[in-house]
Amino acid sequence: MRKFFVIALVVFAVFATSLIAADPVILRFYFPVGVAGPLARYMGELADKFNSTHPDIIVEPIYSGGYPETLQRALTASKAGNPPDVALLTAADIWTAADEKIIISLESFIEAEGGETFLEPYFQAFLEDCDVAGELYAIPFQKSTPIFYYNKDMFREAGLDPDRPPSTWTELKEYATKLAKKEGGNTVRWGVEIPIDQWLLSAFIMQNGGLVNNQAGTETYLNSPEAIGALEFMRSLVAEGLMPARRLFGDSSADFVAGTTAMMYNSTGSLTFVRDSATFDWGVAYLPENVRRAVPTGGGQLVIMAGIPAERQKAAWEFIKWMTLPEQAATWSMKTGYVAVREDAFDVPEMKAYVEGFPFAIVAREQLQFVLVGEPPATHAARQISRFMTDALEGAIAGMISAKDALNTAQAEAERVLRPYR
Amino acid sequence: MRLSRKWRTYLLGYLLILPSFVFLIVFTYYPVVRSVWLSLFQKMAGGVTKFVGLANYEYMFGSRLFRQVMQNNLVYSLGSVIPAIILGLVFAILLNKRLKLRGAFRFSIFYPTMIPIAAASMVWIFLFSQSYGLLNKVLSLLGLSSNIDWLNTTPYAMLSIILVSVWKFAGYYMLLFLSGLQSIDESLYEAAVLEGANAWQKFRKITLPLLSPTTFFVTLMAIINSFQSVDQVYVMTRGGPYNTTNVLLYYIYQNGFVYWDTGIASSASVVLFSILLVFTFIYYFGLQHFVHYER
Repeated sequence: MRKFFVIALVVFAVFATSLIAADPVILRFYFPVGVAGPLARYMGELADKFNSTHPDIIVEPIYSGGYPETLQRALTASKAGNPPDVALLTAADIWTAADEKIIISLESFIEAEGGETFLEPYFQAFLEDCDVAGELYAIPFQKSTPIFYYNKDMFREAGLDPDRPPSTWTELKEYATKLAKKEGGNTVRWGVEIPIDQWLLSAFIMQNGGLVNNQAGTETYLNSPEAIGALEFMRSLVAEGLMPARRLFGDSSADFVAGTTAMMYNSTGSLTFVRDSATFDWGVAYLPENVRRAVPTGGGQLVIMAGIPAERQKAAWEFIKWMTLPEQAATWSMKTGYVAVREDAFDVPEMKAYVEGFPFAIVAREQLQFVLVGEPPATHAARQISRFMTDALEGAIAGMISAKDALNTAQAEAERVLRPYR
Repeated sequence: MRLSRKWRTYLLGYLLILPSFVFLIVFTYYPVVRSVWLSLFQKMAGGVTKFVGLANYEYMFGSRLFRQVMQNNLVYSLGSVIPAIILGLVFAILLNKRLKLRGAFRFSIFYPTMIPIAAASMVWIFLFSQSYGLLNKVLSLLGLSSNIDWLNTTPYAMLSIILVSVWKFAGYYMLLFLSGLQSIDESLYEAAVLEGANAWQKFRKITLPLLSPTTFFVTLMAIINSFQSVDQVYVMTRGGPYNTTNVLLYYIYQNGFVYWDTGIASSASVVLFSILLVFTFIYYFGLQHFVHYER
């Protein structure tokens, strides 16, 4: 009898508290994992921390594949009338999401937080990826840049100074020639690997003095002389047997730690993987320059979905804001290798200690001063433009088409898909 | 009013097929009609679409990429269907004999069919790797050229995709051929032996003709399969290098779910649908006219 009484009391207590406390807002958060490592687990830990400090909001992080799959899910869910609340999208997809009207402008939220003063601590270079034709739709969260990795042991072996990585295109080719190993006409060790991606083609175009697109995102300059020159340079690396014809980011970092290539271009997101896997002395540096030093940004930013009630949008904003506070920005950066999105994250004590123990982590941040326009192509239909660029890159460096013809085709295709937006 | 007996029988029949018919309409016929409809629209700024008639088809058939995709698909279909069928038939004939460990052989050849193709493709990526892949190691042991970058150069990328498909499907076709072989009456062979027929004559005059319904079915299945497989392309090459392994279904996926260009994706889907429809007609027509049945 007494047992019954106790149980009844407990049941009553549970009921009562759940009646008194307001229903918490539940936020569904779609996030991709773009680099190696248990990022999904870290994301869960971050959400738990948010949930424990915000009793009226419950965030449910939902792993959604890579960046393209995350947009796919967010878009199909939105079209079916059941959108998530928050998503982590790559720069190209923010244009698509805004064009499809599935995300909302964040201008009014930012205004309410104090406008410019609120944005001030974020790196300007990263905010470049958050706007669609001048209007802010996102807040930077996990950001990266390409950086240059090199094997110091191989530098020594080839008689190169391990503390002086190549700083220009000319040096890059010179070093690659010294570092590549050939046996009977076959290259057995590559001088350098540049993953096949519009991201790195953009870097070369900008370093050669060109630009990929205009500010309004309605025009591309893919067949400019600067772009053709950039692609011709990349092609010459392959033609001279210094670089393999086609590697993706993962292939390159695997080749680098396996010692199959002496140098590589890769994302800062690979720092942790290389640190944990390389069995040799290595270093990182800025990307080599040509006409000018320039680097694109990459990675993901947080957006709030359209088509959800205002109170959930407000809760979503609370979550986004919290996720990019200095402490969280520092935690995420230390765990993943992404660049912390704001200046003051580097003042967090743990971050200070981390950077001291692993100075490579600072190279990407310092490279941000060379960011020109964020992550190109920043246009409408950006995924398609990216594909045209990658196609041109693949075709040209495989020697199947000249750099000029490849880029003329890419430009013509880009003009076709951008026509409706003019 | 009472329905006549005949009508009640009809009604019962319709009622019984209703559940599957509803599913067919919702998941097959409606999407087909909708694809045809969507293929007449073009995406415009601001998330709206504009009716453009056949302009999507006009653009597609005129584009170099689409022609290349169709050509790739033809190469892939021929390249994977013919070897897979021949291998399937050979394995079936060999493993229809009384052999020691016959079960183990059958199992090991059928086994690839049971692995999801996406998972198998992940494994093959490692086998195909230029620097540490097993395939190049084996080639170098055989003293052959062993520095092939299988997945990243032409024509090796397409060859790799074809190889995985043959590996994947041959076992399944073997199983179908085996069931065909076992339905052939032993007494025919006994009679042939009495008449003094040799092994080739038995194969040519008994096995092949009596296997023709199976062969016909397998061939059509294989062709249709070859238009529907996209997983290995997605996992292993993403259509590259330079679109030389981009096949029709991957093209549809890219346009539909990466570029969100529903117009082009729907047009390409309609093309795929028409191709498969033609083969389905051939199948039903052929069943009635070409195939030799023992009656």
